[in-house]
Formats: sequence, C-alpha cells, structure tokens
Amino acid sequence: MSLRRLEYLQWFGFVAGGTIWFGSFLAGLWTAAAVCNPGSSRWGVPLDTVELGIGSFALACLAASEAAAIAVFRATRAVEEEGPPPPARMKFFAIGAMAGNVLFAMIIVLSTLAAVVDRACHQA
Amino acid sequence: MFFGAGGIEALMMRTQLASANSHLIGPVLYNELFTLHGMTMIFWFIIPMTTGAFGNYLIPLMIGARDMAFPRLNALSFWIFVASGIFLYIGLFLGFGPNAGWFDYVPLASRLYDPGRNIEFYSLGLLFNGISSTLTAAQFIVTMFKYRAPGMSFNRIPLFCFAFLAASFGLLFALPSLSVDLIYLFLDRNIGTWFFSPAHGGSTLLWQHLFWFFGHPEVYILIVPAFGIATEIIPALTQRKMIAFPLVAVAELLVVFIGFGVWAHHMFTDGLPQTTIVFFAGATAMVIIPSAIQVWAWSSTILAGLPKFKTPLLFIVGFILFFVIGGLSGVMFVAIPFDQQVTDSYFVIAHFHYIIFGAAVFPIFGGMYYWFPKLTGRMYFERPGQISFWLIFIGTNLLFFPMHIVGLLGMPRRVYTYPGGMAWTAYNVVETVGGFITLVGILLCLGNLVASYRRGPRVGPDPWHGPTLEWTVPSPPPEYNFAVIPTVTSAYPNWDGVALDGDPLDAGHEQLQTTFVDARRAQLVRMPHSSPWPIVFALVLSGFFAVLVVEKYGVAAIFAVLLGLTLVAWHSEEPPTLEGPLLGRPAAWWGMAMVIAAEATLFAMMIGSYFLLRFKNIAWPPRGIPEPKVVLPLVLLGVLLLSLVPVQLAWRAARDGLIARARVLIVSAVILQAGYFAMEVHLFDDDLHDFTPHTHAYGSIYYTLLGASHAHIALGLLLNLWLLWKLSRGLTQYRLNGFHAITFYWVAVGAITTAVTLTTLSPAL
Repeated sequence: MSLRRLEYLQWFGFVAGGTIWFGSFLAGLWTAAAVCNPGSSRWGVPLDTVELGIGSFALACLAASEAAAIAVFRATRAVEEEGPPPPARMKFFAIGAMAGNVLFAMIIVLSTLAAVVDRACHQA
Repeated sequence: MFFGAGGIEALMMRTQLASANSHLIGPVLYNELFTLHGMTMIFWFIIPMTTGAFGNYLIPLMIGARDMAFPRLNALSFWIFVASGIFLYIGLFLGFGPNAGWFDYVPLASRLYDPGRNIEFYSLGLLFNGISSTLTAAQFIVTMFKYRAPGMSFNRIPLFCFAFLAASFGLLFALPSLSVDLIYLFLDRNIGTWFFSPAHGGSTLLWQHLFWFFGHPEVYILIVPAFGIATEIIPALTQRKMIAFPLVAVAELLVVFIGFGVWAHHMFTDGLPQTTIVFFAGATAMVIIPSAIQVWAWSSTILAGLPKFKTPLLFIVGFILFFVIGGLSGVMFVAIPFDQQVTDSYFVIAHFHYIIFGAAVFPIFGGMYYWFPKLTGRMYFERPGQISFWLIFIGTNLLFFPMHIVGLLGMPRRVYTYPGGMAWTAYNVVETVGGFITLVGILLCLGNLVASYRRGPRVGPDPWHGPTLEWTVPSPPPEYNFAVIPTVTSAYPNWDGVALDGDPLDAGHEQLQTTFVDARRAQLVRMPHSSPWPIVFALVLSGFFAVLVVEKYGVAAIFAVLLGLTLVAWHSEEPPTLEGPLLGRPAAWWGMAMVIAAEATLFAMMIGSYFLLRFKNIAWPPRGIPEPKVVLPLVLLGVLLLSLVPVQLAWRAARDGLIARARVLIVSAVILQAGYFAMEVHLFDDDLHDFTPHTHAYGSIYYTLLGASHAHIALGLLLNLWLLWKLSRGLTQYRLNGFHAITFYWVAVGAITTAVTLTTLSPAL
C-alpha cells in the first residue's frame, strides 16, 4: 500500500470513530428528547426505528474506521514506535485508533440498546 | 494567593461545622464562602496553576521552543486572569460575593430570589476569567502544533504535552457553553429576557444542560494536566519509560473527549426522560476505561522500574490512590438509583474532593518538588518534603473520607449548621482536624520550598536524570530556553540522545516554526518584544466588566470602542519578517482556527438552546408572534455567501503580490457585506415592532441568536477595513498572515450565518 493511501487511512481511522460516536450520541439524544417533549412529541418521530438506524449506521462507520486502523497497523507493524515519521507516527495513531474505536463502539451499543429497551419518557 | 483565599474559605466552613448548632458564621456569609471556595479553587487556582504555570513554563522547554506561539496574547491572558480574580473578590468585599453555589442553579440565581448584585459578580467574573482560559488554551494548542523541535512528530511528543493538549482542547470546546449560559443569565437578570422562566416559555433545565456540558469536561480539564505531571515524574524517578506510551497518550485525549458525552449524569435527579439519560449512563460507564488504562500504566511502570520514593514520587503514589478511590466512588454514580439517593449529600463532596484535591492538587505538589531544581538551580530539602507529604496525605484522608459516611448518613451539602443527635458531629470533628493537618502540611511544603530557594544545595541541570528536553538546558533556563534548537529522535530525548547541531538562532528572538504533523522545518520567525498593550487591554476590559455590573450600558459601549482602539494600537507595531520559504500554514492561521472552533461551539450551544426551548413549547413561535419571513433572509444569506468569493480571490491576489487587485476585491466584498448587514439590521428592527426579547423565550433566543450573528458580521467588516488600511501601506509577511486568517474568518462566518439563518427560519420551512 502506498504511503499516501496509508496516510489517508491513518487519519480516517483516528478521527472518524470519535466523530461518528459524538454525532450519533447527539442525534440519538435529540431524537429521544424530541419524542419525550411536549412541543416536539406531536411530530410522531418513530423512536425505535430512528435509534436503531442511527446506531447501525454509526457501528458500520466505526467498523470501517477500525478496519482502516488495523490496515495501517499491519502495514507499519515492524516499525519502532518512536522511530522516524511518517511510518512510526502512523503506527502510533493506528494503535490509538484501534483502542478508541472499540470504546466508541461499546458506548454506541450500550446507548442504542438502552434507548430502545428502556423507552420511558418519565424518570424511573 | 487565590489558593490561600480558597483554603481560608474552606477552613472557615470546616470550623463552623466542627460542632452542631454552631453559629460562628451566619447563613449569608456561609453561602458566599462555599460559592467562592468552589469558584476560586477551580477557576482561579487549579486551572491557572496547571495550564497557566506548569504549562507556560514547561511546554516550550519540553517541545524545544523558545517561547509560546503568541507571547503577547499570553501576557494578556495572565493580566485578564489577575484582573478577573480582583473583580470577583471586590464583589465579596462590597457585600456582593456570589452566593448561589459554584454551579449557580436557576431559579435560585434569578433576580426574584437573589436580587442583589452577587450573581452579576458570578456571571461577569466567570465570563471575564473565561476569556483568559480560552486565550491560554488556544495558545497552547498552536504552540504544540507549530513550535515543536524538528523531529518531534506526534509519536515523540512527551506525554505531559499530550495531557495539556487534551486539557486545552477541553477548555476550548467547553468554555463557550458556560459563556452562553452566563450571557443568558445576565440577560435574564438585567435585560428582562426569559431563557430560564418556564412561565414564559423558558426552561430552568437549559441552565443545567449548558452548565454541565461545560462542567463535566471541566473536571477532566482539571485532572488531565495532573495526569501529565504524573507521566513525567514516574519515568524520571523509576528510570523507566512509560509502559504503553501510545495507549496512555490516546487515553489522555479520550478521557477529555468522552467527557463531553456525560454531562447529564449531574442531572439524574431532575426528572429527565429515562430514554435520554441512558445515553449519559453509557458514556459515563465507558469513560472509566481510558482512566483505568492510565492507572494501569502508571502502576506497572512503577513496579517494573527502579522507583526512588523521593517526595515527588510520593505525591504521585498518593495521587494514584486518591484517583482510584475517587474513581470508584464515581463509578457508583453510574447506577442511577444510587445517584438519586446520594445527590446533594456529603457523599458527592467526598467523591469530588478525592478527585479534585487528591488527583489534581497532589500532582501539583509533586510537580512543584520535581521541577524545583529546574526552576531555581537548587535542590529542595528532602526530609521536610517527605514530612509535608505525609501530613497532607493523612490530613486529606481524614478531611474527606468521613464525608462518604456522613453523606450516606444523610448530611446534605451546603448547610451552614446542623442539629445535634444526628450522628454527624464526630465525623465532622475528624474532618475539621484533617483540614488543619492538611494546612500544616501545605505550610511546611511552601516553607520548605522558600527555605530551599534560599539555602538549598546547588545542583546541575539534570539532578533526576530526567527524560525530556527541559533537563538538557541549564537550571534555571535562560530566557530564550535553547541557545540551539535541538533535533529530536525520541519521546525521551534526554535518554536517547538529542542532536544540538540545529540553528544557533540570533539573540533569542528568533524561533523556528515546524509543520503540524511531523515537525519538519517550516519557517524562521522573529518573536515580538515586550509590549504595554496587553496590560492596557486587560485594564480596559476590567472597566468594561465593572460598568456592566452597575448596568451602565452606554459607558460599557465606550469601553468596547476603547478595546477596539487598543487592539489597533497593539497591532500597529509589526515584528520584522524573516526570509525563508513557508511550509504548511502559519501560526496566525492556526490561531484563527482556534478562535473559530470556540466561536462555532458558542453558536452550536445557542442553536442547541433554541431547539431545547422549541421542544418544550407546544406553540413555536407562540400565539401572537408571526412566523419568520423566509424569502428575504434567504436572499440576503445568498448575498453574504456571494461576498466570500471576492474575499477568497483577494487573498489569492495578495498571496501573488497583486496588491491593487486585492484591494479592489476586498472593497467589493465590503460593499456586499455592508449591504447585507444594513438590510439585516433593518429586518431586526422591523421584527422588534412585532415582538421583543421580553415577550417570550422565543423572542429571547431569536434576538440573541441573530444579534450574535450580526455582531460577527460587524466584526468581520471592521477586520476588512483594518486590512484595507494595512494594505494601503504595502504588503509584508505579517499582513499576509493576517489576510489569510481574516479570509478563514469569513468562511467560518458564512457557515455560522447559514446555520443561524436556517435555525431561525425553521418554524416556517
């Protein structure tokens, strides 16, 4: 794989996961808030469908982001962590991305499932 | 000084609570004490001490730079910090100390229940202080992006710097939320808007959402720099590189980033819908993992290395213990039913102080001891240092641990006294004793450092055999830090070898800019000399905030004009440009990027507020207020976006040296933008005939959102006029950099105005 392509994959792997999680977090939260507030509840937003859609889309994007990070890590596996850039820097970001993306995926799974299962517009 | 003030406030409260039915302090003063204690410790001690003092001193040394990216802005940040602290405490001495708690919930903080000027000192004091923190955060990010030594690519940045990078991004994106909240509060109390009045379409929860969107990341902003201090002290005093370096670096970033998705766990007792709060519970559970990664890495490194338990490392071990205990009590709050039981009890105070005092302040003490030889060229006295550690460690545990128990026994926070027979007294006595033991330990620590400064044994530049670049320069370092800019080949350059065959730059005022990602040589720049303008600006800004307290808005407008004139005078002196090709974007562009990031967040918070209020109101706009006009605002938006074309073309012309063409293009852009602005002001005035900000929360958010957007257009017009004036006197690299930054500003203004316009028109779309 060319260095240029690896460079793109490295940034995608590192940045996309966090962006997708925060975007899906806000979208999911706003959907739930819209369903549960008097001014917006009459819009008839289908909570389950939207939450599951947001969660699935986010997980698919995260899988792509994780795949990119793994690809970069495999391509730079032999490089020393503190070695010269760009390969060592790419490996550094790839390690961070692989860990971070798993974390983001876990948050998305937890939040989506909880929002669908525990769908009460009042507090327990 | 501010640490002393906050400490005195704490000890006064502890003395009061040492016995039941105590009336040493009355409820009015007690309210002011706990509010000021929280504000002072968070905003005027920990942030300035970690980011301000440690960051300012150590980051340039660690990355191989001679100074921060914008030294005058740095000076401005310092003077604003000092002035804002004086401003806050003047309020106390005038009898108007903030008194509704550090998170200042409405309606308690509304004019109805708090009619004095106390809350104005809170809101304006924090807004004032927030400017200082924002400037510092932006400056740190640009410094670490643009002034690293050649070779210091991202995988070689010290972990200390990663921590400060994370905290700076946290500040940059969290503070706008607090600023928006404070502006709403000021407007509600003084102008008659209804942001927080449910009877008029507002929402008290709006305050809490905005406050905690800032407030929870703030906790990480406080402790992540402490993580950075720990990650420097541990390798030096164990003579071992940190285990899992990349994971620790990313964990420092992740803990702040995920911290932005947990804010409503402070609101689990507010009656929020279950289906919304589960989002926060999920993120709260997961934010523990990056913290755990760091605890594991610190502990493993100590165990795998050859630890010398000198005073700095003792404080770090204490910090790890406190962080684990505070973290474990924090995890308990993820369980929503448990959170509901202990909210507003002393259990929360115990958790919070284990984190803030144990995890944030302990590394500060450790760092003071560790870098003391670098700062002074002398070693501190070890034995008193160790005694001070044990006193503070024991005192802190006695002070805060019983709060868990007394909280579970039902003692609420923020009570100025309590009846006997509640089984709370003995615990409170222990806490008070612990508080005074901590005081003795702190005094011993400070006394030791003062005595060591005078009579401590002299040491060489590297008494610890430390890993990072600051240990390669003399102690104390010269003003220019590095006579020769080093070339770096490792994250631990002092251990792995550092090349000093770089540029022997001239007389300390030259600095090397490098590229953002891989720190390749980009350009040689000359740093500015000392200037009186930062302090003048801070003084004028103080005047501006002072007259706002007394509601003299006309005078405040005069001060605003004076601020503008100060900035013009400030920029009339230009540093000479050095020759050399530029690689990557200049620091000025990055500075503007940071401003835009903060501004975009500010508008995102306002737009978020708009929709939160809209969700809560069945009729939006309410009956009696017409729907917004659609066609003309959209046409005007098109005109504004069209004006971005000549702005971009002008920048390209200037870059190619075609000054006359650039000026013509800027003039044409100004004509379009001025036309847009005039029409928008006319529409704004027209709308005021139909409804006002006092009519309903709809009017409050509508006019505030549009007003803020128009203010940014007006600022952009002033920047264009300044640019035209500068271009009339020729083109320099400095002006070209300014031009580049202003062009970027207009692109951002175009995007923000589009978002604002679509938001305000949304009911009619």
